[in-house]
Amino acid sequence: MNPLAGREAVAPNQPRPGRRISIAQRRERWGFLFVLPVTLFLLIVILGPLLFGFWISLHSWNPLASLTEAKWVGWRNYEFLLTLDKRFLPSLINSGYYAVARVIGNVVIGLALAMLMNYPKLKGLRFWRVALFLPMATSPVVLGHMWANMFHKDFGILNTITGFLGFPAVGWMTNPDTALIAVIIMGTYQFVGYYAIVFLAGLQGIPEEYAEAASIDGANGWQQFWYITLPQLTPVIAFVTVMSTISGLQVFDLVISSTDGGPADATNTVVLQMYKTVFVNGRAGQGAAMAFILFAILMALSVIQLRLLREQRS
Amino acid sequence: MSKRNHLMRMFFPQGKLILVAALLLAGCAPAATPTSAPANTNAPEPTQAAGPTQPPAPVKLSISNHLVNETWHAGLETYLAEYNQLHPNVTVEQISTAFADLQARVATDQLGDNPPDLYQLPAWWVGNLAQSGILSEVPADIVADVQKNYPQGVIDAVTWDGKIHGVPMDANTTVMLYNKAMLAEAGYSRPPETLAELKEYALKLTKKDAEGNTIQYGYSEWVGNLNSEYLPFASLLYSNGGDIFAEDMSKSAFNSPEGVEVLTLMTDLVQAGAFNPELTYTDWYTDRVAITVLPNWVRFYLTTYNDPAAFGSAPVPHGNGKESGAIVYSWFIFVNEKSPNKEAAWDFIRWFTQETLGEGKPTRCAQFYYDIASVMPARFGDLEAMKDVFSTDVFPAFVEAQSYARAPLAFPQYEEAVNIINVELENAWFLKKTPEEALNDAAEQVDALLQMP
Repeated sequence: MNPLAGREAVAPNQPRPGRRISIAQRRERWGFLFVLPVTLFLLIVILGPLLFGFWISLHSWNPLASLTEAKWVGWRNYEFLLTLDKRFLPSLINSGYYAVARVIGNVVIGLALAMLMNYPKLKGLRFWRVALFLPMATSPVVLGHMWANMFHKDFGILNTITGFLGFPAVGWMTNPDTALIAVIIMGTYQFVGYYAIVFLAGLQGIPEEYAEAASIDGANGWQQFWYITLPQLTPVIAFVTVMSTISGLQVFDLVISSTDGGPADATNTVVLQMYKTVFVNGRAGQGAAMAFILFAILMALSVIQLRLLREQRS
Repeated sequence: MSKRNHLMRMFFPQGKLILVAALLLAGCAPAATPTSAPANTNAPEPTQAAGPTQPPAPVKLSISNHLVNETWHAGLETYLAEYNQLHPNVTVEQISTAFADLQARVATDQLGDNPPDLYQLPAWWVGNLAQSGILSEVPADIVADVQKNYPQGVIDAVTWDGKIHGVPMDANTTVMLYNKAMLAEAGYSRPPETLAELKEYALKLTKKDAEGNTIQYGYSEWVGNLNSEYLPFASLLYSNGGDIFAEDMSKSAFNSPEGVEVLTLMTDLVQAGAFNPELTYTDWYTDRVAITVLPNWVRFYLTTYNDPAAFGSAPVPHGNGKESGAIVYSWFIFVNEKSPNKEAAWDFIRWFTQETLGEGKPTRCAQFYYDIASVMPARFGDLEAMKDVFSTDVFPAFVEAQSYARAPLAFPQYEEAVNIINVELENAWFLKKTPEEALNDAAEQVDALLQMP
């Protein structure tokens, strides 16, 4: 139905005599009104805490005390973290190692699993999808405890198996040389199924004609993968890389429930350090400053990653 | 048209319709409470000067603790029910949070509208809690009671800035524990008394299989726990004549030659395969370790998983010509400054920590802690009332240590400092740093904390 039906025809850009606003303007205003609740909600729920967090990062405040006790310190929290604090930068490096290793694991293993699931003769695809997605749907705290038991030096299944094969027992989570590797394995296990499903969706979106044409031209399987599948998957790889980097740098629950950052701070990640700074050490200002430094890093990394992939794609 | 009217019409051209809708919505809202007074279940009802038959106003107290273990929670629940029976107008309920989440819980409670009236928390948080204004003023009679009935180390543990801030509930001292059968098998008739002997014993008590793998460790600690790493180190440091901080608390002192000597002893044992920093206390009570230094709560695990009679206890080995040292730490109970029922809350504390279960019997607090985890009481009267229990198996050395043990230094950043020291101890134990480097790095970070306002 035409909403203007039955109304007087008006020449474009000519204001109607006796009326001040056009229909388009009125619609626009109604539009503003409709988005107002959402805008207010976002301002309160997202921007509010963000601004409050930033305000806190410029103060010295123990969360046990009243907020009125917060003392203005300016940029000193940031300065302390970047110059004097001996635990913040190492924790950031640990998170960096974890994120990079997990991105590689998620892309390589996730893509391999997706290609297996995309194999036309594979039976029980639905079962494999559910099985792969299950770790993602499991609580990270439960996963942390589960893997801590599997990695246990004396009773863990991993050392039991390697013991049968004649290898000495490894203190996966009790030795600073292996603890981060153990956490990376846990993290990759948790997310790889989810990303495999994402890759599978990407693979299924590639027209089969491309592969057929390449096959007629004599391209072998590897060449088809390298010159057709991989370039077609660039947006999916970009998505997986960005999301995996962000969640990798934010790892917390898996670590606190398995190693609690130890031994010798080998698995102390930046978000765990942030949590301890606020709730154990009672320095909410420094914790908030850490959060903003991490935020800036994540923003910069995401922009760089997306630009690189866009350039590569173009 | 005025600017205001224009804006109103611009955004609310159907103003009348919106007004009707708003009125309809308002009509659907619950009716406003006729009185302006907010409902507060904690607030005592106004008393009337009517006469003696007026029952006392009901009071609901809440107590926040870490007793998430079902048995422990139920253990305290029994006493709370008893208190409720004796004081029909008072109800005390527990809010239990896992220890790992306790600090975050306290912080969020304090930001909320209705924080608990009472807290059972580690006394090494006393500086931080006092600085945050959570601790309410302890009544004079309770201060006098604590000063009279508790050992100095325990009093110091609940003291910050010269003031007692709560009532100690238990006493955990550190002593050396050893496996009697292992020492006897190695030909030792007594435990080591000096640091040199400790090293000698630990090396001799270490057993290796044909492939060179250690199957029995001479010495070990529980790595990865706040108190189980720092406390043995601090106890050995005190026993070697060293100190954690300078007397005026201006800087660290644990990186002194005495501290380096203690840590070097440990790393020497690591290199010889006699001390494995990957072990935990479970390895000790399951007969894989001969000697350790731990607080007395470990006795609970001995009764659960082994035989306490198979183990011996003795003061921490000392440096030549020096006296053994130890640390005593405690948990304490206090009233929240924000509690609207402070008087009732302190009454509960008096009942729980001072009144005994009968003539010659301990207080409920002492009985409760012993029953749930073999934890030692701090109150002289309780130790006397339970002397039959505390003169058996590993207890005597722990009890004796109460007389000379020192409290953890209750400065606000205590836990952070201990975490820093633990990380650097681990760096030395895992041979990532030399003992001197590790302690100097720890001292540098802890000194920065001491300078914080």
